[in-house]
Amino acid sequence: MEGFLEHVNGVFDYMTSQTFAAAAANTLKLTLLAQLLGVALGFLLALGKMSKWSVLNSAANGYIWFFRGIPVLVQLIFVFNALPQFGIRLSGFECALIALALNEAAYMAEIIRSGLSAVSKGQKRAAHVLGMNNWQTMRHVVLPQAVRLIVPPTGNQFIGMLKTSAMASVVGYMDLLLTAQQAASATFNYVDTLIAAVIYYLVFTALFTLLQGYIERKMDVVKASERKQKLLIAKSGISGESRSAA
Amino acid sequence: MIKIEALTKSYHGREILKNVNLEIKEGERVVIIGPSGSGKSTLLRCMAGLESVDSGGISFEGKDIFATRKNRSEIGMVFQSFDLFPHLSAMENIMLAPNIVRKEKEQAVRERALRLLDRVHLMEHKDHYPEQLSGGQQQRIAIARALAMNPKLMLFDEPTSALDPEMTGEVLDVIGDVVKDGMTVVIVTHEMGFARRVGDRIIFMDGGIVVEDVPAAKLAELPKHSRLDQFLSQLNHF
Repeated sequence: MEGFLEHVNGVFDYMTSQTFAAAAANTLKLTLLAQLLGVALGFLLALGKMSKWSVLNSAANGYIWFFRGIPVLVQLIFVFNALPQFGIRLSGFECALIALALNEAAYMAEIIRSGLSAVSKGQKRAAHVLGMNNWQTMRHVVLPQAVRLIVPPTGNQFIGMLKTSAMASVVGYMDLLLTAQQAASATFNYVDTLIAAVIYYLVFTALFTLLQGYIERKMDVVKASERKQKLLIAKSGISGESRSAA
Repeated sequence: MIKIEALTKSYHGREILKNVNLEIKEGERVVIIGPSGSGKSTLLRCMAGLESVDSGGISFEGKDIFATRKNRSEIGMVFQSFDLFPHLSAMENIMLAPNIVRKEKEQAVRERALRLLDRVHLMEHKDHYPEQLSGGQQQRIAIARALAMNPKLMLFDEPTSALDPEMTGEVLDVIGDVVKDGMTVVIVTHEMGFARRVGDRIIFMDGGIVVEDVPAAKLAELPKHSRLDQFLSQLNHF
């Protein structure tokens, strides 16, 4: 029992230490930025895949084949170790961001493409006869409908990215994993340091899941309006009763 | 008002429209009828600028409708499948295009939308989303949405074909109101009773060409055993 309490204290001390807090912030920063860039680049790739021009089709398909086909770790080490031979020297963070974002874009492209193409042709037709151009149709008609389909799998990708970000430790980025390893190498206390990192990962995953649920509920406009109408009916019911009582 | 000249159009090597010529004047109420596959819906989609054509042209008030989006901005269209935007309420569906395409003042758009909702008798449903509305209600919102752009010509592509019979009447009544206000309309429909009631010119298409083009009043005087006569008697069998 004493041993257990010791570990609880140890884990708590590591978690609340400045190094671990900074490491958690680093992990979060890399995850958010890499996913954001991945989504943006994935959107362009999805447009390329759906384009009428076969050059863009082939370019997008080639990209997806290339980056989906190579292990992320290999891409990461290539950016870190091979690019300097061409005179391109990047920090661990920059290497990790580039490798993770480029890789993520290949997966996001497929997710976004399937979301965009699920919006019916009739919707685009209706937008066009109302005078909307292609961009207005995309922005006001297609995207709002596609996003509802894209959010759940993107939430998955996001959580995947959080875990993949641990690979950045191999290129010297002070993320949760590398920080835990370094702390352990000083004290040989692998249990407490790794558990401290694990708790951060789990808490972030829980937060991402909650955020995803919140966004999904926000976007379900029909359900939201039904909730609002029920509330209004309930309220008017109460005021109606009080009026009849008076 | 709209002039179609020597229009041809093929899909995958099959000729859908073969040299269609048609001129429609302001205030005319044209009904296009014909068997399925006769090209009537394709013709309507061409008139809305939704389809490219192989040869020939369409001009609206003297301007080529395929040249710029602006040249066809006063042509409204209503589809068989309604195609309301499911993520927007009835009111927002009506307001979207005036807001973002015409960039009109919010207040003016709102007032017009409310007037149109009243006109299609759906004021109490203004905050409902398409999936909360019946088919007939959705189609009436779709008509209001098209009217919000102040079109001079309205195209209706089988507006009641996807509806249950009990909802057909409410949609036809709304279209009848639009026609009464003097709107130039082109309607593709199988509802012959309605066609005779609102149409003043009946066009019969078959095999990608205009076979007959007659005033509605003359429909009864057509020679027996013409293709149109056969088509009409087939309709009557249902």
